[in-house]
Amino acid sequence: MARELICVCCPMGCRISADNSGGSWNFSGYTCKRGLEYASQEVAHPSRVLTASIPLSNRSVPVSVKSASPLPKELLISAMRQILSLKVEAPVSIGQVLLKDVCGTGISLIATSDVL
Amino acid sequence: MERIDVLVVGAGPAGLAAAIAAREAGCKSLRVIEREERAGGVLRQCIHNGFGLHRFGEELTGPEYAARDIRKAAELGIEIDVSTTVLSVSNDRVVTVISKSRGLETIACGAIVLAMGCRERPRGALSTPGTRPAGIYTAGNAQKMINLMGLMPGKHAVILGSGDIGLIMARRLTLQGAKVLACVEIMPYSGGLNRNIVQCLQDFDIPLYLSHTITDIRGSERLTGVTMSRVDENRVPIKGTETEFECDTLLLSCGLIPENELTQRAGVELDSATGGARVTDRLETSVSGVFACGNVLHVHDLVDYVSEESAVAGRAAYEYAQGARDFAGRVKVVSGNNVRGAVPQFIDKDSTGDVRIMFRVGKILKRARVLVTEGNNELLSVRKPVLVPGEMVNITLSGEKARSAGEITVSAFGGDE
Repeated sequence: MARELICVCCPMGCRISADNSGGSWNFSGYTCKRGLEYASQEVAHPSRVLTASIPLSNRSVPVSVKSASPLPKELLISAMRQILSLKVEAPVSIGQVLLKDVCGTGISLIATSDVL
Repeated sequence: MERIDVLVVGAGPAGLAAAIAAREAGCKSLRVIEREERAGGVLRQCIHNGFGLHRFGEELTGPEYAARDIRKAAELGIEIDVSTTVLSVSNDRVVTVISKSRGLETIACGAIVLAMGCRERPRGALSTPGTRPAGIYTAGNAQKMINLMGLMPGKHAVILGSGDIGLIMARRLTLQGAKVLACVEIMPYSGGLNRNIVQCLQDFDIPLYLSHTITDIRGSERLTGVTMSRVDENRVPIKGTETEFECDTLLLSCGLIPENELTQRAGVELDSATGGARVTDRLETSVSGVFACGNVLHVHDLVDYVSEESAVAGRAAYEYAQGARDFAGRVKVVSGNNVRGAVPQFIDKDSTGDVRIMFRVGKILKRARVLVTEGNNELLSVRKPVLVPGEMVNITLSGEKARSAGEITVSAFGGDE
C-alpha cells in the first residue's frame, strides 16, 4: 500500500510518500529527521488528543474536556459517542477526571475548565 | 474623578499578561476592564489543544492556558472589572467606562494599555452573493455556540475560508455529529497551519477545495444550499465549474481584523498593513502614554507570543505612569520586499534590550532569507527553510545595532530571488 502524508512538524509541510509493498514501510520526500519520525509514527500508530465539550445535567452550559494523552486516531469517533453519553454534574474543576478509561485504552478524560 | 496609574482595556490573554507584568513591576494602582462576564477572552471558547508550547513547554487547551493567567492575576490581587464596557479613551488618557453595578465612571490614567483583541471578518465585508437566510455564522461564533453554550449551529455545513478557526470548527462539527461537506478556499494555498489541515480535515475525509469560492447562497428562512465555483488566477469565478452543496449551515473563516474603534477615536495612528496601531518597541502608540498589544495590535498565530508581547506593554505602561521621560528620538522600521506589517514600526533610541520584529510575508518563500538593512549596510541576515503568509515571522535584532541606525528596512527573499 502507498500513502501520501503531509508533515506537520513545521511550515514546510513536506509531502512524504510512504510505501510498504516491500514488507516494511519505506519513506521518501521528507527533508529532515523529524519528518521521518513523524511519518513512521503516523503510519504505525496515528494518535490525537481528543478535545470536546460535554453537557452538564444540572447546568445550561457545557464543560470542556480532553483526553489525558493522545488516543488512537481510529477511536476518536467512538470515544466521542462514549463521552457524549456521560452523565456529568457541576461543579467541575480543571483537571478533574470525568471518565477513567476512554474506550478501553486506559486513558482518562479530564475537565479543562471550571464550572462552579 | 478617580486617578489610577495603569488601566488595561480587555482581560483576554493580552490584557492579563500586561496587567500581571505591570503589577510585578510594582504597579499598585491598576484596573483591568472586561466587557464579558468572565476573564479569559477568546481562549475560553478555544477548547482544542496546542496552546502554551513555547511558554510552558506543554500543550494546553485554551481554557487551561487562560486559567493559569487568571489564577496568577488573582494571586497578585489584580482587580478585573467584568461586565464593564469602555465607552471612550481620550488622547489625554481619560477613560469612560460603564457597567450595571457601578454606572458611568470616568478615570484619569497615568497610562493605558489597549488589549481589545480582534474580530472576525463578517459576511457583510465579504460581498457574498445570494439570499440572506439564517444558518450563516462566522466560525468563531459557531465555536462559541458549541463550546460555551452547548448549541449546535446545524447538521450539514460548508466552510468558506481555510483559516485555522474554520479548520478547527470542521473537526468540532464532525465530532459533535454534524456532516461537513467541504472547506472552500479562494486562494491557491490554505491560510491555516498544516497541522490543522491534516488533523481537522484529512482525519475526517473533509475535502479542501483550493482556488474555489462560494458563488451562490440559497434559502429564504433557513439556508438550503450553496454553489461553489473554481476561480481563475485573478480570483474571478469560472463559468461552468459550479458544484452544488445542500447544507443548512455556512461558516465563514475569512480573516481577523483588530478591533480598533476605541483606538481610532483616541486619535491613535493606525497601520494599514496590520490594521493596528503604529507602535514603538515599547508598544507605545502615537498618543503618548497609550500602549497596544496582542491581537488589537496585529493578529498573531500563537498566544504564547501575545503574552510575551503584552508583558512588554504592561511594564512600559507602568514605567510611563511613574514619570515622563525626555524624547530621545526614534528609528523608523520600514517593511521592505515581501514583508507586510512589520511591528514595531519605530524603535525608541532610549529604550533598552534587543528588539523583536514580527511580520508576515506576502507569498510563500522557500529557502528564504530575512534581511535587516540600513541603506546598503546589512544589520542582520537570517536564513529560514520556508516562510508562509499564514505564519508570523519573528526575528531578534541587536538593540545596539538597531538604535544606532536612522531608518531600517526589513525584507525577505526566496531562494530563487
